[in-house]
Amino acid sequence: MYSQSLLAVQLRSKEYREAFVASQIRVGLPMQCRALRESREWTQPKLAEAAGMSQPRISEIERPGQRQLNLETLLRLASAFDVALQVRFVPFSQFVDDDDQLDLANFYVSPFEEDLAAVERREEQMKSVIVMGAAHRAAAGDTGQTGQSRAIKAAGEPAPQSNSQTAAKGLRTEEGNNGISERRAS
Amino acid sequence: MLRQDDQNVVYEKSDDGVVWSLLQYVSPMGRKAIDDWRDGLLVQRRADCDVFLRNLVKLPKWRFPDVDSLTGRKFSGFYELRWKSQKVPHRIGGYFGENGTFVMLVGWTHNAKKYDPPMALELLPKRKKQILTKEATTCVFTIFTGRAITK
Repeated sequence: MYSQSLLAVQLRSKEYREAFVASQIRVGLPMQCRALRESREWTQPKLAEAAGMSQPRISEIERPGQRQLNLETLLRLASAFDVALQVRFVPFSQFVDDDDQLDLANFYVSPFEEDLAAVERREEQMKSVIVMGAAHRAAAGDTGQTGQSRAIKAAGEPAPQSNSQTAAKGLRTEEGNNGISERRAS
Repeated sequence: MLRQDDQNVVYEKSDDGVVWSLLQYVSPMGRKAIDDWRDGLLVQRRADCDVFLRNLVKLPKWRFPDVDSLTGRKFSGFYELRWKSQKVPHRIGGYFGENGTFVMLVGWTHNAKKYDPPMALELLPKRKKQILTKEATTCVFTIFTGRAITK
C-alpha cells in the first residue's frame, strides 16, 4: 500500500519528509496528548500532578508547535497516561503505513489495564473459536484439510499459496503500481 | 451538532468512531482553494498544516484552540481552524455542513492583524453564497489519507 499512499507521493521530496517527521512531533504529539487527557476526562492540573509538572507547562505542551518536547517530558507523560512510548528509527514505508491508518484506537490509546483486559478478551474469543472448530472437525471426521483445500484438490487445481508467498506477490504488484492517476476520498 | 453545555466545545459529531470529512471550495474555474493555498506554503508550514488536519479529523469534539467561531454579524455561522506554525498563526475559514463535515473556504495567515491574503475574511460569505447558489462547488480535501487509484 505504501507506493499508493498519497502521503507517500508527498514524501518523495526530502525537504517535505524531513518537515513531516518534525511536524509529527511538534504538532501531532501535542494534539494526541490533549486528546488523551480529554478522553480520560482529566483537567490540565490533574495531568500536571500525574506527570509531575506544572499546569502552565502542560498547557504549553498541548499547544501544537509551542514547545520543543524532549524525551524526558514524553516519558513522564507516557507514565501519567500509563501508555507505552515508541521512539525508534523506522523506514518511511512503515511510517506511512502507520500514519495512514485513521483508526481512532491508534490515537486514543488505552491505559495498560484496559489494554490488557482487551487482549485477554480477544484471546478468550480466539480459544473459543479454536475449540469450536476442533469439535466441528471431530464431529465431521475431518483429516485436517480445510473445506477450501479439499475442494481445490478435487477440482485438480494447485493448492493455495502460503501467506508468505502471497505477501511477496502482493509486494511486487504494489512496487509496479507507481503511476498515480486519480485521487480518491478516504 | 452545536454544543452549548460543554465549555470550549465548538462542534461535536454525533457518530463517534468515524473521522471528520473535510471539503474544500472549488471555484467556477475549477481551482481548489485549500489545495492551492497549501501548495503555496513554505515546506515546514505545509507539513504542519497536513499533520494538524490529519489529527484534527480524528477528534470527535472540536474545541478551542483548534477551532473557534468568527465574531461579527457578517461572519455568523463561520468558523476557523487554528494552528501556529513557525510562530505564525495559520487559519482555515469555513462552515459546518452535514454531520461530520466541515467545508473549508479560505486559508490565511495573520500576524499583528495583518492578513495574508488581505481579503481572506471577505471571501468567506462570498464563497459560501457561491456554493449555495451552485455557482461554485466543493470537493473532498484528501489530506493524504486517501489512496491513489492506479491504472
